[in-house]
Amino acid sequence: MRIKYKITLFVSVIFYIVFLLFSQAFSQEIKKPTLVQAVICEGMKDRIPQNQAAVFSISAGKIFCFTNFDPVPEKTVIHHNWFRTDILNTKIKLVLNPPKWSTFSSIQLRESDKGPWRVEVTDSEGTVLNMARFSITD
Amino acid sequence: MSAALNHILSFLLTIRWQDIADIALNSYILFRLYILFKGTKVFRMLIGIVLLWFCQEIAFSLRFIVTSLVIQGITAVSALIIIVVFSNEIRSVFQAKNLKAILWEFPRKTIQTPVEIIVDSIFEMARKYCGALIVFPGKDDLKEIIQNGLAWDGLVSKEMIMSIFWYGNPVHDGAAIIQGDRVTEVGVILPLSKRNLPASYGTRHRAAKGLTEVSDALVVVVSEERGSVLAAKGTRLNIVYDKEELEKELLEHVGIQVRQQGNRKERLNLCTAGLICMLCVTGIWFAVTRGLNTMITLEAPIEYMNRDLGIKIVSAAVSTVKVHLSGSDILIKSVRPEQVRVKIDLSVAMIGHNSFPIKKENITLPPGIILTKIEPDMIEMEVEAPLKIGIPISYVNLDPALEMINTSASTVYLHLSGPDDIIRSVQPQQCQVKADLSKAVSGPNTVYITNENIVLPPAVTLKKFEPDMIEVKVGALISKELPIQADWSGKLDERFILTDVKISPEKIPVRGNRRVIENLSTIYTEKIPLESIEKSGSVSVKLAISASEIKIAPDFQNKADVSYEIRERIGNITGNE
Repeated sequence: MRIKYKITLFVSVIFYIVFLLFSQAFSQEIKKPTLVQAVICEGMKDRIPQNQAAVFSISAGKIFCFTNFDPVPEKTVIHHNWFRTDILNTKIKLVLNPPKWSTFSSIQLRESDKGPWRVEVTDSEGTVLNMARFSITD
Repeated sequence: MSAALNHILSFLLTIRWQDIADIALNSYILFRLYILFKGTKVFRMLIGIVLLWFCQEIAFSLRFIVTSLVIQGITAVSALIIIVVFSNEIRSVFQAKNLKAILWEFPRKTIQTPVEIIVDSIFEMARKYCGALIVFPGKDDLKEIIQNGLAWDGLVSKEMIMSIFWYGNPVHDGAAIIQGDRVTEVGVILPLSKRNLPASYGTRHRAAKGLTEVSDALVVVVSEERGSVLAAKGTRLNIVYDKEELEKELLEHVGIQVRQQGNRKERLNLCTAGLICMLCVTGIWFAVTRGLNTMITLEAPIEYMNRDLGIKIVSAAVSTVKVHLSGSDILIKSVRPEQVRVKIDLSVAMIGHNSFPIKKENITLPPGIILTKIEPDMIEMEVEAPLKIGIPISYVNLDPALEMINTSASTVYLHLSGPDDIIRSVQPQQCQVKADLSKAVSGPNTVYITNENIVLPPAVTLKKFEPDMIEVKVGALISKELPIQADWSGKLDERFILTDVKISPEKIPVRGNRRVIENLSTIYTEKIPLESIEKSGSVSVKLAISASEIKIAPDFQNKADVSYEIRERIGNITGNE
């Protein structure tokens, strides 16, 4: 009788540990921000992207990567990784605050920046959340 | 004592079989010369020359300057004198005898002279007072001495001899010559002696004396007046009183031994002569080969033998070899530089670096000369084919799932030979070197190049190639699905904005080297010009990929359809927050 009690106690502890691990993992999963919009645009006005496009002239002088997260469960950071061809050109760290957050990064355009680009939006762990492709031309 | 024995033993051990054969051969030659010229004036002259030479040596050792020079001069011209003066006798010796007689036969008459018949005839003529003059030639040639002979060639008989000298016969005044068992000539005129002879001697006696003074012939005279018989030989002219005496004289002259004792004496003479010949030659041999030991050093050029016409010597460490020689003083002094030859056999020479040891077998020396040292004892040389050409390696039969990463060599150097005109015109494009990678696996591989992998123009021979083995590193190809991105260029009209781009297919599977594929995240299109774009549309464009590094999956094409959306711009180009 005593042994049966011990076995029951041991199994209960194991179940509890497993439950804790799963609940922890689940709680981490749901704490990730959700990206609802990622666009490349010529400008920002009232936190709204202006002239979203896939091709930008060097004469624009500056371009923006706008990202909108909803919800943002907790304060976290994301990265805007600007790649020209397959080479990382700029990595910009941005802070997200709950409950929802829009943020943007920008790069100054130079003559040598012409070519195909992409911006990878990654979370704090480096997971790619979205990717926006565009070109910089004359 | 033991030291002396050891010395003798060591000396005997240095004698080769060739030395013994050398002495034996020359002894025999000397002995045969003795046999051939024995009893002739030539032989006596030769003996005289030897004695002169001996006297010269004595005079030289005693430092008699003039005597030595005079004898030396006489000896020097003696050989010439012999040849000129005694040319007839020398010729007769060699002409009269066949090869067998010259080489090994002893002087025995095969045709015996019928002495008894001749003696009987002579004494019969003496009894009848019938004058006669009979010549028995010796070894000297009489042709130059006698004259007007009438060829007879009749078999000797008593009746014939008596009929020749019968006073009614037209030839009875001359001499008859008997050789062997035949009367060869009759009516022969002999030279007359100019010496003072007794008054009782007539013309026949003078003629007999005249011939024997200048030859080794025996002449028998029958006096017509007194019926006496005389025998002339050399300087003597004796009266022969009975048949036995004449018979003995004749037998001795023609070489037939009268008694057994005479035979033994003759054999003893021959043995003695042979022994003396052998001692003389042995002495000469020792003087020549075992004289004062002298050493010299000669520099001999190296001769290359059996050189393959398809190779050429590019460089050799040395062109001459120093050869240290020793031997007797006489032999060493007689060595001429051209007699010393250093030969290197190039039949085993390989293309590239070669080392040939120089051994005793490579050096040709005159007999009796001993090689003591060779410097250097090794020759280094570089050998090449007439043409060396570098051909890029073509790698064939590689599994499509694999790719070559790197190799230890990209070029194989071919050493070619052939006719000059063809070799000069060979171009690298005419040659091929194929490396078979059919058995290559992922990772490092060793691939051997063989003659079968090499293609050459006709009439060209492959002597060597290098390297014959290459290390090839092969890697497996990996596949990856990559997104396609349009690569725009030029300038879009400022009135428009290109808002959206869709590419079909969006992604494309590619395969390639791990190193390339892993670093690749996007496949770009070729440049798409923007200048002419004013409204939405689509364009088909090729993908900008390197075919040598990246392969597109078989189901896909190397192009993509790019659809784009154009809208008119509202406001300025730029706008900042």
